Amino acid sequence: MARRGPRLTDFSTHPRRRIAPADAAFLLAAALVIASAAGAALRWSAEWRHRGAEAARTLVEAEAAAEKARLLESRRPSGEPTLAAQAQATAEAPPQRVVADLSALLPADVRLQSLGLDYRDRVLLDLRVAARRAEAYDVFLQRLAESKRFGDVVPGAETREGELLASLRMSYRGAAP
Amino acid sequence: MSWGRSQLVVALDAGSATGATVSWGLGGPRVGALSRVPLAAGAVVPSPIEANIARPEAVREALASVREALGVNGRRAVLVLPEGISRTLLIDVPPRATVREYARFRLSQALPYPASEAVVDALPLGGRRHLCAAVRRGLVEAYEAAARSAGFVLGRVDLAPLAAVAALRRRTDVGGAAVAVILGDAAFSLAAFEGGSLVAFRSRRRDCAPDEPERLRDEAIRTAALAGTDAPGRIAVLGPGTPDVVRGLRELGLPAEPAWRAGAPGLPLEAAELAWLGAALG
Repeated sequence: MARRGPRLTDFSTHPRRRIAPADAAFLLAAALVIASAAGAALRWSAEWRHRGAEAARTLVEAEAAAEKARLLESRRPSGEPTLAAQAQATAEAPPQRVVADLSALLPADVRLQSLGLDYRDRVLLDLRVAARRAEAYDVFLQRLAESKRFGDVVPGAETREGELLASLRMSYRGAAP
Repeated sequence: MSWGRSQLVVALDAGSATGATVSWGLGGPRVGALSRVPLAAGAVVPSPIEANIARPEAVREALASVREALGVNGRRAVLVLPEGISRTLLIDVPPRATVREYARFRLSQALPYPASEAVVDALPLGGRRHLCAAVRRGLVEAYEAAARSAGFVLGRVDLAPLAAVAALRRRTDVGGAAVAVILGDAAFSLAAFEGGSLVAFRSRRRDCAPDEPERLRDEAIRTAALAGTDAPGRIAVLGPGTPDVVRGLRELGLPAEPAWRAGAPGLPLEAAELAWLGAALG
């Protein structure tokens, strides 16, 4: 059982907000009140529908991008050494599988805003996410770091005005160990 | 961060860029992976006033090599800044005073730049006692930019001497009278403990001349006197060059020893040379 360590210093020029114990207790109480409200269920329901629609839209975009890539590839002269590798990558990592694996790692407060798939000798992902809380984005990064399906994760720019918006690049390893 | 869980820590100093995954347990620190890349002389010049990163591209390349070797995969890192860039003060915060505001008030009198440019924080040491430090904002920004340009995602930014004290005060074997010599490449700090409590803290520039053990002995005796004891008692050494300094102090008849020995099979250097392992405690 891990126990919490001591409070250490932070000299960041943009420190992450610390929550004092009293504030945390207040927030917890407020969360309980909100959770007991009847409207909460409706809000979550709407949120899930919104997330589902976004995931579907992202999937359609990703499939269109992959189709476009295949079309462009078919117009190129045959026999190029990368063609077979690209075809294999597309077969092994169709967009719906990549999106499904990515969705499985998304915490509840993080949603996928856009996803670009680049089928080369491996599958490269370029995505943008929005998170209600910075902590939720941290959880997403942690899950990516521990995931065997995604690698070479390079987080890009983050903006923290209101909700957190961030971009990331990574590669898809599929079911490789 | 919790005890037992691994934390990614990245440290820069004049001589090297180092990254490690570190966890702490009852047995002390445990280093899971370590990568150290030497820096060319003059690439990083620790100083509390002037720009520290003189060759940003060399520093970025070294940090990128560390990141690649560790395979951090987007994991958030604690960035540790070196000895010699902060003003540090041991203070007792009055009742009802806000710790950071009081620390800024006390430190502002000793800063060689406007207090508004200082990033201030305080390490709680129990009761009202805090070890406070101020670093010039522009210096921190340059270190942060270097780490980000190498692909690291930053969490906290810590200072090597404060990270060392955080770790030392939790080690049961620091009980009784003891002086810790916390070495950096360009500067060092001395921390006097009495019964496990920090009672004196001083910082000095480092000079790795052959007579360094004699000068460190004298500084340890002065620090012990400042803490109200006649002799430094045991001397715990940590930071780069620890083995040589321990050997030199022992030859002078002092009871010196490395501050800790980590569980780290195959580590290419002594764990006590990583003074900042305490940054993984938070």
